[in-house]
Amino acid sequence: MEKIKKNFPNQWILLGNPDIQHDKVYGGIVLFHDDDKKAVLAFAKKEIENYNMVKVVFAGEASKAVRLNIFKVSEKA
Amino acid sequence: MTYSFHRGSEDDLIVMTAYLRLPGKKLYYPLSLVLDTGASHTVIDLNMLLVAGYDKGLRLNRDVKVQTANKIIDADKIIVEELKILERSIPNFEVTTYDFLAQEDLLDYDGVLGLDFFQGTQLLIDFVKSQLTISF
Repeated sequence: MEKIKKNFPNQWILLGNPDIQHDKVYGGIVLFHDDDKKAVLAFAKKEIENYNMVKVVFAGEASKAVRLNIFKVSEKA
Repeated sequence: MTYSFHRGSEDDLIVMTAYLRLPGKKLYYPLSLVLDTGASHTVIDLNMLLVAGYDKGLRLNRDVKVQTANKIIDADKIIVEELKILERSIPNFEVTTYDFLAQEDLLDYDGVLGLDFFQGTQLLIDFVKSQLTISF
C-alpha cells in the first residue's frame, strides 16, 4: 500500500483482488483512482463481479478528528 | 478464533474487516468496520451496500434514526445475505444503513460493527497483544 499511497496520494482507489489480512490492506491491482469517492464507488459497482474481490481504499491518512460517533440507533414501533 | 488489529496510537480505532456477501453470489466485499462496543447496532454506509449489489428497494419499511455526536439522521434497515469475520458468520443479518456521503462522512471506514454482531459470543479484546478473540 505504501507504493500506491505514493503514486496516488490522497485519492480514492479501487483495488482488484486485494491482499487483506485481518485489518490491513497490503495491496492489490489498481483498477481506478479519483479524488471523488463517488466516482470510484460507481466504477466499483460495475467491476465488482469481474474480480474475486474488490476493495475501495483511501490512499492517505484519515483525519483523526473525523469519527463516526454513532451514539444510538432508535426505531419507532 | 483470533483477529489481529493495529493501533499505532491511542487515537486509533479498532478496525475489523467484515465480509459482506453479494446478493445471490458467492462473492464477498470486504468492509472496513470500526469496532464499537458502545453501539448496539451495526451500521453500514448505504453506498457500500449499493456497490455490493443491494438495492434501495430492499430497505425495510421502518422509521429508523441514527444519533451521532451532532445530528440525528434518518436511516434504514436492510437484511444482508451474510456478514462474516473469520469463522463468525451471520446469515440474513439486519443492518442499519444511511448515506455517509450525503452526510459528508467521508471516512475510509465503511461503518460501525456493533454489539449485535457479537450476540451469543464471547468477545475478548487484548490490548497488550493487539488481538481480539471471538468464541462461540
